[in-house]
Amino acid sequence: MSTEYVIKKEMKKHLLIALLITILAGSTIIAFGIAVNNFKYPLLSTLIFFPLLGSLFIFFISSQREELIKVTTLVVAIVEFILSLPLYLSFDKYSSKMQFIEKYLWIPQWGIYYSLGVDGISILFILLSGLLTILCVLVSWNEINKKIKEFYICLLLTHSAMIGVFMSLDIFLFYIFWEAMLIPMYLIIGVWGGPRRIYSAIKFFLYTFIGSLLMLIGIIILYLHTGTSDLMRLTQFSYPYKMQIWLFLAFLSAFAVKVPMWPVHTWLPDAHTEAPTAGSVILAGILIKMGAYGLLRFNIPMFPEATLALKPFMLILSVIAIIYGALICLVQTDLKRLIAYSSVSHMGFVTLGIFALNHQGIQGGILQMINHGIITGALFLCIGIVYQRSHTREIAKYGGVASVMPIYSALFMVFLLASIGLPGTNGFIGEFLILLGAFKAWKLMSILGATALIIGAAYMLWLYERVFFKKTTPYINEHIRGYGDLNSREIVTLLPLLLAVFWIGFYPKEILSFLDLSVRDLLNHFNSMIGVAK
Amino acid sequence: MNIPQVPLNFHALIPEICLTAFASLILLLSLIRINKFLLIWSSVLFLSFLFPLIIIYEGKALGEFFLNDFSAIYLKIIIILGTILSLLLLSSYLRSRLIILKDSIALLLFASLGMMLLVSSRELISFFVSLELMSLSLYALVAIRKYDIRANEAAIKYFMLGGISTAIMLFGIALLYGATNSTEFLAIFQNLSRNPELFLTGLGLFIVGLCFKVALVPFHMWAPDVYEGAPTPVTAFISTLPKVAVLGAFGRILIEIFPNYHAQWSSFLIVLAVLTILLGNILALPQKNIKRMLAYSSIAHGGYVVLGLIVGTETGFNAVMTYMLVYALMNIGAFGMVIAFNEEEIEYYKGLNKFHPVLSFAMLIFMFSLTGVPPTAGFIVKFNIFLQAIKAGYTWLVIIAVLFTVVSAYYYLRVVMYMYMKDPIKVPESFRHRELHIVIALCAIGVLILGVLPFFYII
Repeated sequence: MSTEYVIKKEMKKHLLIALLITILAGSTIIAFGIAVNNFKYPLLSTLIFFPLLGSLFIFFISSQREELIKVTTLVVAIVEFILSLPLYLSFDKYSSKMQFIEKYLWIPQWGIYYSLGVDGISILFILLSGLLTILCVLVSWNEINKKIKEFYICLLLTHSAMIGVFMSLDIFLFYIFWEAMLIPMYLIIGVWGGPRRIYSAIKFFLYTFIGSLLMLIGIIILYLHTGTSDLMRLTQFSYPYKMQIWLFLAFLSAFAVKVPMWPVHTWLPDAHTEAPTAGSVILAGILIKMGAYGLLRFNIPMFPEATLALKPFMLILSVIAIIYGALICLVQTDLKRLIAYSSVSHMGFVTLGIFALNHQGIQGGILQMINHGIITGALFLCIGIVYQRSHTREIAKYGGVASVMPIYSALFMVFLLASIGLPGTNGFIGEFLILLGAFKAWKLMSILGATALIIGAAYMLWLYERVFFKKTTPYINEHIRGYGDLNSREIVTLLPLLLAVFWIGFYPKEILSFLDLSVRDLLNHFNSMIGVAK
Repeated sequence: MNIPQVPLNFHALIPEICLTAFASLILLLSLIRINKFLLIWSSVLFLSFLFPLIIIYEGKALGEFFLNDFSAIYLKIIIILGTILSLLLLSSYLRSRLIILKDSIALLLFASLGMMLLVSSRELISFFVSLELMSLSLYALVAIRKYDIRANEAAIKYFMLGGISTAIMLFGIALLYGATNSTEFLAIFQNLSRNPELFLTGLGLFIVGLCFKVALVPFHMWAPDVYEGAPTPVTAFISTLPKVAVLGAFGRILIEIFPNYHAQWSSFLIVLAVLTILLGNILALPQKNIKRMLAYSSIAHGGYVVLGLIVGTETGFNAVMTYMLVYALMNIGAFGMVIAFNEEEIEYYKGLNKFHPVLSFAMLIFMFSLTGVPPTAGFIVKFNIFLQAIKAGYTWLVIIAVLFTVVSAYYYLRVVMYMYMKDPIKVPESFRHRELHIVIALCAIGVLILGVLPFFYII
């Protein structure tokens, strides 16, 4: 008993120190960040390299000192998030230009620059990524119990690479981050995942890798054609029509796998299901958004004619993904797998909105990406929380959880309703905008997409009934009752996402105002390029 | 034949002369007892002393026979770097098996001397002699463990097939001489059109001979057996540096002397490159022995390199050289890990991460680099080769290469998967040597740094 007590006390001490450091560092950084708005410091590089330094630091901590490792990671994640707040606070919403630009010559032999910058679209993902990484650390606290050090290093590395993807303004740099992220993610799924983790990890890697390599060929062709790898300059060229189609397909092969679009989605249910909770949250929250982000950043502005030509094709694929994903959800027997397939369906909405190619559609698509990150992230967190108690994801084994874990059930309900798209939650805003945009573009597709919402409600509510209502099964009695409801760490984990659900649900203007000008600019550019071609 | 007056100018040869003297000295020293530690580190010191010498003595020697220009310097730096790393690997391996060191160090040095001369030679006979100096030292190196039956078998195989390839190449050289009446590269270049049929036959045989040395499919048959049978550090050496030297020399000859026949030799090499990439990667898939797997992987890498040669320009060749630098680092590093774990079956790599977290992390870096995933250097150089190939219009070739890169990801990642994701089936009896760890650390850090800061070495 005494050792336990000592450990607990030591842990409290660690936590206290960590909290203090965080608050101190945070407030200075915020003050600094706001003050510094006029004289620029490399904020974006700091964001990329800080977690790298953090993971390097953790690398040198002895792997026996588990508490210290966890606390360090938490501090790094929190400081990282606070560091990213100046982005939000001093971002100029009334400019559609790239901001916080950094540009250094990196490989002079090829004329490749290390250049970073954010606009209204990417800034949201960076912030979301920061938030989700903190939550991932929290949720992994007790769940991950082997190779703890490696896990947290991987988590931080993934974070760095992910935000690097959203920041890079050089196509080569973009590719480096895009691929570099595969390594830690492969390990997270493969080492700490469920029973079929190895199969899923390899599948994830190979699917993504083949898509990325085809994109690499596209990048090389683009680079050789224009002689530059600068994203902003690449969008200014107008490419021959045939070349546009090929390049569009090359880039699509990478992005479609990541989104994932039907029919290359099959890695996702496996990866989501087998990954540890943190891995699922990152996958659902940020990683699959990189695909849609890539479509927005590369395919639409660079290959406008091809986009226009392939628009019906893309819309049809999106609607197939929406309906197919939703139907598959109905027959799932595994909690996580169900949410994974619902991701396929929801990401179908995202691509539907993006390829509607109008203001509402694209704005809705981006908003829906953020929403999906929040909602699905939260759902995976919820499933992780209950899985830790019951050690099963079989829906059939559950029942009557509501009577055992009332707070948990209420929170789950909120996220579930948000996922369905109930008005008042963020899911509604996104889906509404998308359907509006799609209706303008192609009425039939919008109608088909809207019907899938009904299937969505069906599988989600049915899931809720099976898991939370009915009679408490003996299995649940045996495994969950002893643990009781959510503890404070778990509530802290879910709370920010809960707030975000309602915040965006009631006041989407804040987020949309970031997007507004960037999307408008994107569409103006797109239309003018089409005009030039005609 | 009139013998031309050759101006004797030994300046550019000074590094090679020094190396010859030092290697002979080591052979002599085998007569007396000497501290092994001293021997190894003085060799390393001497080799690193060669870096500045090579760079300083740029220029020609013996008339046109010997040229130490930028490409040669770059290649020689790779060769010496690789020799230092292999030397350290070899010494730690042999010391743990109580085998006499001195001869093997001398052989290693003679082999690298041969390679250095090879990349500089501008004349067919000296080209051939330096190639043989390299090859003969390598045959003996493979058999350095006298009582190891597998190693002896490998040595015999290597020797026989090496002999055949030498004969073919010599025949090619003879035909080239017959067609152009000269062995000097410059003179050959000037007299190309005299007798095209004879000349093309000679060129074909010459290329076939070289392909044997580089182990391009279908001339690769010897490689897996030899790589598997040879002592691991020797495998690290022979699967890396002879490729650097031979492909380096090969590329220079093809690009500088036979540019007019680019269409002919490149179509021949395209067939070989496709076959090599295809078979190398596919045959690596089912391998259970890691040395054999790495052997097939190194065959496949030969195919990627040839893509750069097919381009047939100076920039294409530069891409080849940078590829060689990184390839040397990652391949020697990977073989270093095989020595460190002292285990050849991939099965036994299961769960290694539990026992050796840092070493398995290094292996992870090598495996990802061999696959070509950023931020490792393997990606940068592969990108460079693909860039040059697409620039020259071989997009379809690159698509094939890319698809088989995905295949290669499967077998490289299998090693990572075994190390990190499976439970151990036996506790590895690793043996720890300072030299070994230095090599692995150097290679791993090198691969990472060259991957993140490519402006150092990209030409």
